Amino acid sequence: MADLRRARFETEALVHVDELFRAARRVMGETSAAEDVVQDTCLRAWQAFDRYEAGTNCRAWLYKILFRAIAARRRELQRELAMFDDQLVNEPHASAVTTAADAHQIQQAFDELPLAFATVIQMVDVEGLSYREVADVLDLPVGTVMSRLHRARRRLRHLLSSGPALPKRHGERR
Amino acid sequence: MNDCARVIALLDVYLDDETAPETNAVVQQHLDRCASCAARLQSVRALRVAMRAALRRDRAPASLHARVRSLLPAPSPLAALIRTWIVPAAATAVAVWIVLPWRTSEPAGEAASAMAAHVVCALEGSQTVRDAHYYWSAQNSMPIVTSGGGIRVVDAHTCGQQPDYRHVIVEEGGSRASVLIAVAGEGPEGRLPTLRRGSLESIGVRGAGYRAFVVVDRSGSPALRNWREPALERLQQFLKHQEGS
Repeated sequence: MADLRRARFETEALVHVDELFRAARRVMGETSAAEDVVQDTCLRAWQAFDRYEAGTNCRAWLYKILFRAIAARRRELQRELAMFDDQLVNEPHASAVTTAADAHQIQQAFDELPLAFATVIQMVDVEGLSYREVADVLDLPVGTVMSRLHRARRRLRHLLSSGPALPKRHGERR
Repeated sequence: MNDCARVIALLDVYLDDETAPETNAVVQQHLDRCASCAARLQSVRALRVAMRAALRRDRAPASLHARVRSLLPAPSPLAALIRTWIVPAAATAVAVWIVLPWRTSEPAGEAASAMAAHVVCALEGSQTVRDAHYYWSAQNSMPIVTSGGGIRVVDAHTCGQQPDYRHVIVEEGGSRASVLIAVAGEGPEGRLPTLRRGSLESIGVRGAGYRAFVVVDRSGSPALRNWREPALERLQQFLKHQEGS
């Protein structure tokens, strides 16, 4: 039943390649590294596909494999992703929710976010994962995902409403 | 904290569909009577939509899609034939080819149900083997695909609740594929079953000796918007090939 297995894999797993690639590029920062890690993820998923239970959450399963593959390449990933959880950082409030932002402004503001914030926003707001799925992928309590997401959104809205980027803090990207 | 402040604090979680049902009800009640909070919700929702549009534009390069597929074992010639029926670029589509002997005919509704059941059965692999030899001994091994020879029927079972159909697994050169076959039945001659159920749609053409169908799952695949013409063309090519061999 090799063909059936392949057909199932293509239908259930490979439809998520674009999404995995976006997540990988967000974390890895460059296209070629993201491509390599997504390819590695798909290979691992294919090899383990017999253990994947049909009808369960294939996407979350793939994300988990992806983040393991990324962590194997980036030793500092866990530290970067936890950067703000142990700091009592009060994210600035936006005076109102900005709705007029265009794609360029959104991309620019998003690029200014620290990795820990960008990752949860990408997963929840952009790709539509649930809090539980994100918690499983990142190996975090759901409450941590929620508080991180809350602060990430506040920061993003502040960036969108205030225009130019905030000064960088220690440990933030770029 | 007044009601508005409480609700505003919950809007993101509410939009995430992560609030408890009782909280949902409280938020909804408040939004129904508070124009200011309702407007705020619209703003949050509009920003979310804009973010998705802006941040989901990127796609993996075609070369990555190709690299990933090259990791998988090559499909058998038979499966490759099936795969060519998948309308190009329909990454999320499922197409199933079906070849029926021309003399069978059946009400369109039943055919649609059988096809839908077959698609589900083929995808989920939920096969229950029943009377595997019944159909094939009775029909004297009808040639499903004549090219290459060596086609062997390894399994047949009813598909869903459609006793007049068989989901058949055929083997060629060690690889297998699934086909839906209608057991010969009486009915209005020449009706081509069509299917439109949820995201599933089918199209069929008739040749001198066979009818052939393709079933497409169009869910999440804008690329399939214009699938009918290429699908028809491939079906006709296939019939020509069958009848010429």
